[in-house]
Amino acid sequence: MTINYLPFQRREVVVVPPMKAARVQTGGFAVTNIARMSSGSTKRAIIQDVIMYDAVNMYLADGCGFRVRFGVDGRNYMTEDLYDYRCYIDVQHPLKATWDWSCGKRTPYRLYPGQRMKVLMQRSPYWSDQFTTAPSVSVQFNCMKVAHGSPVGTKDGEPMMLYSTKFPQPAFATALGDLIDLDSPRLYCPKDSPVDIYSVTIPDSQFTRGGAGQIVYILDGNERPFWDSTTFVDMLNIMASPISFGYGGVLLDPDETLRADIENSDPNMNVNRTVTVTYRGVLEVEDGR
Amino acid sequence: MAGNPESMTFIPGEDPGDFALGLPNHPSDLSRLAAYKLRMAKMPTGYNVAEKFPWWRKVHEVLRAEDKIVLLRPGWQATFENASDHDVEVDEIRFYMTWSRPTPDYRTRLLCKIGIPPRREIIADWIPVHSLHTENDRILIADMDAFTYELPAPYVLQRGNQFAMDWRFNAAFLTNMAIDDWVIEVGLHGWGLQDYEPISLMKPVRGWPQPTGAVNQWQTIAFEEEQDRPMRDAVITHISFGAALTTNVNPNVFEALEFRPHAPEGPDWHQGEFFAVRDVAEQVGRVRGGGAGMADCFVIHRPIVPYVLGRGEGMLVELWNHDVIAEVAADVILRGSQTGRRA
Repeated sequence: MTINYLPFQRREVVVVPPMKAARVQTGGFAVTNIARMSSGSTKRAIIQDVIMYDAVNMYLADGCGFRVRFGVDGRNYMTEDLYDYRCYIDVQHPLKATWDWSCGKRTPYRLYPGQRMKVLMQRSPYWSDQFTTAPSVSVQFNCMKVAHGSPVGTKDGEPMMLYSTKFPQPAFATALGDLIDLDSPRLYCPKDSPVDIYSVTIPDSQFTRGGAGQIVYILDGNERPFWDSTTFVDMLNIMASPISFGYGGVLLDPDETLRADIENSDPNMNVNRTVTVTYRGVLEVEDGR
Repeated sequence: MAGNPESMTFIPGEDPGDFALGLPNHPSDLSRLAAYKLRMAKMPTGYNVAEKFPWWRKVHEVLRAEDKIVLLRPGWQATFENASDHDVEVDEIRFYMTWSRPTPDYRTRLLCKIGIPPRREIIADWIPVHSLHTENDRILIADMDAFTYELPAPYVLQRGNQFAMDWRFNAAFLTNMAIDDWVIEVGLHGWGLQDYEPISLMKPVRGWPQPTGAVNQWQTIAFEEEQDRPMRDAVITHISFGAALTTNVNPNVFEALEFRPHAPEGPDWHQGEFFAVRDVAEQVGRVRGGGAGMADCFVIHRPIVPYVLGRGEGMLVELWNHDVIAEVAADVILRGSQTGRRA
């Protein structure tokens, strides 16, 4: 058995009371709420980035209303002070429905010959039926063949894509709950080499933006789900700017917890902020062959 | 330039972090500008950068409804052919569709196939170009009014040498240009070849009130003054374009700005073509205040490792406008590098 890396995400919704009402002084810091993330796995997790937004203003980079600091319980805080969320942002998303989970090309998911990716899509209740031309439904994995005996990340591999399209897709004729299987020979691992998958893209149209339109299920070569979630498009096409945890991400042992202290920092605000915190990364798993 | 082969980049002053130690150093501890410059200063290791030169090709096509076109026809249209006597590594394929909103959403209506005939196919079935996204975090921290263009390969500008570029505005923007007297700030950014210290050469360029109709007039920005030349051998990694005035934080001034770099030596990057800043810029994302910016027009495909074009080989790109009504104007841009030595 060797280690493989299965993409995952966890999401937590935290209600942050207004500073005026609920400010709590803790060692000089005002901490009103804490978001926590543990992998729940028996193996380690690597946290790639975190995305936070509230229900009022999803574009946090433009008008953030809270301060935050990150740390790992039992270890250190990344910064002792709480800073405006925007201060941490080092990646801005141009709203593309792509996720590269590979943490600097260190943690791709490896697919072996004989295995295939399986992708199922479902129309969500919000999928508009305003199309004059039916949209395609497609998926694309950005991959590299793994040259035998060579380390990942060298140029010994050959770039390739695994992809599938159902086109044109009579989207608005698809009943709610119907699963569209994107089965295709192009989603099979080639016979001559394993492939490492670094990222996935699904097209979003303006009507399906923000996770409103498609619910996507991706199963890996062992029929394990990528992302135990039905908010897939939202996770890819996240509306706010993420905070990257750097080149290698943050490594969490199974019993460790990533912690975010959140403070409602708008002194003029008297209402709660409902903050959605999404952690993304990979879980170490056995490759299961 | 010895380095850990595992490490794809070397960022002076920034520890890439270590799995075992957990939390990495974070650029937010620095000022945004410093972090930005550190990011720009990243250098590939493992090869001599002086042997690589940027390589670009582009095609602008207007597809009527239900049009299908092939952007490589050997012997007739060789735009995407590697006509040099060096290997070319294509590390990025971009599609730019003129303002894809409002409906129809061209990104899902425009289909493509890609290959390197006859050697290999890359995309053999029609697939929406929007599915080809492999990047969505290309945007670095910078002034929102600045567009930054990352050279596909670092370019070595030797001490005291001149770097220049021609620039012009295309017709679409002429009306506004005649009204507004723009100042465009053009910058070269990189790092010293010996000391790895960041280098920035900035050149403010006054946009002249363009007489209407003079579409093809262009000016040359020469980094020729004493202060414009690098005082030490520099590796140029980025070109930035900043506009002091972008009304409503509207990036459209860059919609129409085209440039054509002149390196003092080395293989021809671009066959004398002008490139729209919008086609090459990295910072094309969100317009401040929410909503979607020019990023909506872009599809950026970056393979994990570059596609290699041997001498005489070409990249096949087929386009199909599936929409039954609308016309699509599409730019297809290949970005990569060529080796300085003979292949």
